[in-house]
Amino acid sequence: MPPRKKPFTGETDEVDDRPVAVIRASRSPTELLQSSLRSLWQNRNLLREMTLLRLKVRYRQSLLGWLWAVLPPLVLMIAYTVIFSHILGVKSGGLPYPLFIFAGLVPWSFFATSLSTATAGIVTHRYLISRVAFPREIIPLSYVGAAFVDFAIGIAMLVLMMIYFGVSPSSNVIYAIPAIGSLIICSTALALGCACFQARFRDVGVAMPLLLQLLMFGAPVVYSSDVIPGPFKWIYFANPVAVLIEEFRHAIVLGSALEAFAMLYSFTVSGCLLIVFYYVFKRFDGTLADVL
Amino acid sequence: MLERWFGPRQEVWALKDISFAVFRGEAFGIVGHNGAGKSTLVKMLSGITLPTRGEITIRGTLSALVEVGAGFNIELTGRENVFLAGAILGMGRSEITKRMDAIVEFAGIDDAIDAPVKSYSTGQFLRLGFSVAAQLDSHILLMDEVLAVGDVAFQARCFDRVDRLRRAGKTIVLISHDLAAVERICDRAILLSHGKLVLTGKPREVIEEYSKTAYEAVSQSENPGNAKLARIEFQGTGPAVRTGDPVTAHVSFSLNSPVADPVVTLAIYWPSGYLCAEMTSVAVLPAGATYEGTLSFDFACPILTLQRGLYRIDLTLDGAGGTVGQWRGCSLLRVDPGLIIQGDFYLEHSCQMRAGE
Repeated sequence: MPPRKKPFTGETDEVDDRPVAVIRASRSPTELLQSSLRSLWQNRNLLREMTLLRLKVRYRQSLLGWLWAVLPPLVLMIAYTVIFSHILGVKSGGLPYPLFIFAGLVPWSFFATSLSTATAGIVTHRYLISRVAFPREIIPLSYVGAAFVDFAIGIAMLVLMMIYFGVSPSSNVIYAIPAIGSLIICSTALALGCACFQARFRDVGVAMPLLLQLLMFGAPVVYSSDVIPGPFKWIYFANPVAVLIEEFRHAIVLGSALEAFAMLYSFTVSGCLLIVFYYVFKRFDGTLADVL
Repeated sequence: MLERWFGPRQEVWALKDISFAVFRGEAFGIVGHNGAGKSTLVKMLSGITLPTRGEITIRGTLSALVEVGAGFNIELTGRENVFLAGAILGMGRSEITKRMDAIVEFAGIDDAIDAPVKSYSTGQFLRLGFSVAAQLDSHILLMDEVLAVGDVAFQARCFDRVDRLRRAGKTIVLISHDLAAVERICDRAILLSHGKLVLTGKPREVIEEYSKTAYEAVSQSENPGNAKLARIEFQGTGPAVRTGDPVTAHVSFSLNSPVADPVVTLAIYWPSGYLCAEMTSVAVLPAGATYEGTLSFDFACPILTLQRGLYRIDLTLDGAGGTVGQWRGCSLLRVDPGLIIQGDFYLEHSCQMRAGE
C-alpha cells in the first residue's frame, strides 16, 4: 500500500475551496437555463473542436474535396434555372433567374443542412453520449456551425455571381445581417428541437427529407413571393423561414429595404423558438443517454 | 405530459435508496453482480444521467476515467482525435497541447499518433482513448472497469497512475469486477445488489459478502441420487482456518448404491473463479474394493499455504464406472490471515545463514 494523505473527515482546519456541485433532477426553468448556458460557455472549446471536426472529416478521402462545398448549389442552380425559368417560365422579378434562385438556395441550404445533419448526428453520437458527460447541445450546434461555413462560402459565391451579372448591391445590403442572424437563430432552434425529438422518436429522421421538401416549396426559394395572391400573403409569411429567405434575397440582390414588421416578427419567433427548444433539449438531457 | 413522451419507455428502478459518503483522499470501491446498478451509479455520479429522485453532492472536480475512443473519428489522426477527446472531457486547447506528450507516452503508441485512427489496432485505439482521460487533473477520479483495458504493460501503467493519484491525496471511486484490484486499492467499499445497497465496509468484508452471493448462484449438485453429501467441514487449530496452520477437511457421503474404487476430489477456487488447488484421494484406497453406506474422508494438510480470502469448494465423487456425483460450490473456505505474507501463496520454506569465510 502506498503511503498517502489521511482521509478527509471534515474535522481538520484545512481550507476547503473545492467547488461544490449538486446533481439532482428537477430544477426551475431559469435555474436550468442559467446553469446550461454557463456550462455551454465553459465548453466553448468543445463546440469549436466539434465544428472543426465536421469540416475536416466531411471531404476527407474524397476525390473532389472542398469542391463539394461549391458544386451542389451550382448544379441545383443550373437545374432549377432550366426547369423553372426556361421550361415553366417562372418570373424572377427582373433579376437574372440564376442569381435570383441562387440567392434563395444559399440560405435555404444552410437551414436544411443544419436540420438534417443535426437530427442524424444525435444518433451517430449515442455511444459518446452514454459514456461521457458534456453539454449535449454541442452536437447539434456543431452541425449548425459546420453548415454555417457552407453558408459563408455560398454568400461569397453569390457575391461573385453578382459581379458576373453586373448587379450591384444598394446600401440596403446591411439588412442582410439581421436576416442572417435571425436565420441562424431559427436554424439552431429547430436543429435542437429536431435532435431532441429524434432521440426519442426516429420518425423525425425518417420524415426529415419530406418535411424539408415541403417546407422548401412553402418558402420563396425557387419562385418569387410575388406569385402569392395578396389575401394569402399573411398566411404565407407566418412561416418565419419564408420571411427570412425573402429578407435575405431582398437585402442582397434586390437592394430593397425591408419591412420592419417582418423583420421584428421573424426575429421574435426565432428567438422564442430557440428559448423553448433549448429548454426542452436541456430538460430531457438527463434521460437522453437512457432513451437514445 | 412531456415527461410521458420523453421519459424512458418502461419504468425500472435501476437504483433505489442508495446513500453513501466518500471521504476526501479515500479510495472507494463499488462491487456488485451484473445488473446490480453499478453502471447507473457511475452514470449519475459523472452526470451522464440525472437521478429521478434524490441528489448527489460533489465537492471538487470529478472526472470519469472512461475510454473516450467513443468520441474518436476514425478519419482523423491520433493527434487530432486527442484534441477532440480532450475537448469532450472539458480540456482547453493549450492544456491538451501541454499534455500531448504525456498522453502519447501513456498510450504507448509513439509514431502512430500522426496516422489516421482507422489504421490503429484495437489495442492502440483503446489505449489512446483511455490515456486522454488518464491525464486529467481533478480532485475525484471515477474508474469504471478501466483496469481491464490494454495489455499487461498498459495495466501496470494504470496501476502506477492510480497509486500516484492516491499518494497525491486524490479521491478515487473504483467500480470493478476485479475483486483483487478492489481489495488492493480501496479503503472502503459498498456492495450493490438489484439496485439496493447491501453492505458498506472494509473491502474484504464486502468482497466476501459478494463472493458468497456469487457462489450461491453457481451452487448446484449433479448427482443422479446415488450418493448424498453428508458432511463437509474444515478444521484448523483454532476456531478459524489460518494461513500457515495445519488444516483438515472432513468429507463424508452416504451412498445409496455400491461404488467401486471411489475417488474424491476437493477443488478449491479463487474468489475470481479460477481453480486454485485440488486435494484428491487417488491411490488412498486399495483398488478393486466396493463400498456401501457411509463413506468418510479426512484430507489432512500440514501447512495451509492459501492466502487469506474466501474460497469456493467443489467436490467430485468418482467411481470405477464414472462420476457418481458432483457438488459445485458446496461449501466455502474462509482463510483468515495467519502468517503475515505478501503474494498469492505462503511458500513453505526454511533458511540457513552462514557468515564469514
